[in-house]
Amino acid sequence: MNPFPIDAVAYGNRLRSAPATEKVLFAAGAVALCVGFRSLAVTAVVVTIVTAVLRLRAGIGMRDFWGFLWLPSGFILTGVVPMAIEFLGPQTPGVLASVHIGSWHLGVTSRGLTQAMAILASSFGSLSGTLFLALTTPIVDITDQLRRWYVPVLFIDMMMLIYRFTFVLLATAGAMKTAQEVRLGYSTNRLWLRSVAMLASNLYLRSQMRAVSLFTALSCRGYSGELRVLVDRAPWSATRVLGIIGVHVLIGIWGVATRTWGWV
Amino acid sequence: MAVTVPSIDKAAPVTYPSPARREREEPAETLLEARGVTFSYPDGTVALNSLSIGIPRGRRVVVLGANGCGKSTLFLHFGGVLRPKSGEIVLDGQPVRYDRAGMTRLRQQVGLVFQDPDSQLFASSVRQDISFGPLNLGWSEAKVRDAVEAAIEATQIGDLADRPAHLLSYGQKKRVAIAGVLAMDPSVIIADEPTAGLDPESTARLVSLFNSLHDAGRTIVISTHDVELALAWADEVVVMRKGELLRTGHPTEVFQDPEVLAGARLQQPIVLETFGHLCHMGYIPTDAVPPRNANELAELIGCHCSPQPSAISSGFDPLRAGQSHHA
Repeated sequence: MNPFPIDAVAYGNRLRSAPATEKVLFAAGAVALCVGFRSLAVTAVVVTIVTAVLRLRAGIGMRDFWGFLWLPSGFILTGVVPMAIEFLGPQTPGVLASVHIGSWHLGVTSRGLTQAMAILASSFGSLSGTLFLALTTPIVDITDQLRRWYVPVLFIDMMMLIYRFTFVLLATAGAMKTAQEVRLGYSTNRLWLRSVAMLASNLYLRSQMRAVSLFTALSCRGYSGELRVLVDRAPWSATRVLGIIGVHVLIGIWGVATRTWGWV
Repeated sequence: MAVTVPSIDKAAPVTYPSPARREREEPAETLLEARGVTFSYPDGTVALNSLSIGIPRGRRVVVLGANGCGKSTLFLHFGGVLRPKSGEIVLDGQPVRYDRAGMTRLRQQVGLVFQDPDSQLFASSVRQDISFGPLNLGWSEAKVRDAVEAAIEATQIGDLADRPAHLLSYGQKKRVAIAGVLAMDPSVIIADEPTAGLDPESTARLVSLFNSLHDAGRTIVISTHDVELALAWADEVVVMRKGELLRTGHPTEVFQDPEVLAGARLQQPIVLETFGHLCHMGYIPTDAVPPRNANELAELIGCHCSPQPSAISSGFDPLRAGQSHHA
């Protein structure tokens, strides 16, 4: 069983075998548009398109997508709301609403609100773009793509090892926790704390041993400092790439238009 | 008198392909050798004590011995991971050098498969993991691709090639780990307890994989505690005790040596034990060729003992009876 639902979806969706180049391009374009325009309208269009592509092409339902989206969105909201609220002076212009707490005068100004909306738009849009990539593309395809783009090897090696050994670590921790549970290690609060501490320290030692044995095994296969693996050539279709770029450009033009002439 | 014994391959999955009769054969040249190797771990444990063992080329060798007798330490020496404190490891008649070129040569020739596949698999997909070893040998990309595909085919993991390691079963991980060293085209594949923790069917599949690698001309060395497997499968058995070589030889000879069995605390395989009883009781002549698996034992019994009339009339099937015993 796969303990990570996002990983499971990445391997099981209908866009799994689509060229990573195209998916990365689509996701990167979406993020760029949202960050570039910082406009709620543009973000709304992007998120709608991402949701539609996930639903129609990848077979990932809206409910699933938003299920993955709501938790990080919570973080964004808790960050954005305080941003909109600020301390007001006697002469602060454009106050939309305010409240006096003791000697403090707190309120929302139109400038602050616009700023908060811009942050919300760019971060929420980037989040949905990134999540699109995470849901449709397994890590192996993403690291391959990064290799093709000559991202530093050390960075990719770390990504690969962290990904692989997250699962090993999780399995080890799970087995240890079960072993503690069956011996009543979590039956009281006091024992719970003790067991968790033991688990953590043991897990650290295990990881060290795991690292040593990995190094040994890699050495036996000729490891000399670089984790080189074969990367398949990326098959991408010019038509689809042009289509993706076309959609992004259209959204871009529309975004510029709304900004310049105030269309919504 | 020719006796036909029904094949039990289909009836019971736990059968190892019967080895070809290679009783007294010409001594093969030694491919890999430990000469007077002594090794102790930093905590002072002496793991190998002036051990000398030769692995003959093209043979299937099983290394037996209690836990902690030094099997894994020996394998790590063969793989160039550990360096003898004294003595030397010899590959193809040349002492192994521990510089970069020497290590590359050793590691290309000697494929080490670790007991825990999770310590060997690191990449995000099976195919990438297998490509790691051959790429380190500096081969061209085309050659690496061919080697990877050949290893995937030989180990029958084509349907797993694009999966990540965490979506594989234990038995599948074992096969991937073997493919990873096979892709480097080694002369000898050394596997540390490859069948430990595998179900009978996976074990049988693994053994037949080793057989196909052996048929392709590779030397296979495995360690195990499964004496039945060692008897049925090995061309040669090596028994170790406390870092020393106790005995090496043909499996039927080694398993009939009471001193070895007692010294290494080995259990005699049931097939040989039964054979011994039948010889002792006079049902089978004592000079008969000792059987190596249930089939051969049944053949011997069929040759020398006549069936009970009642058993024939009732359609008695000794194999079925044997099965219900196992269950």
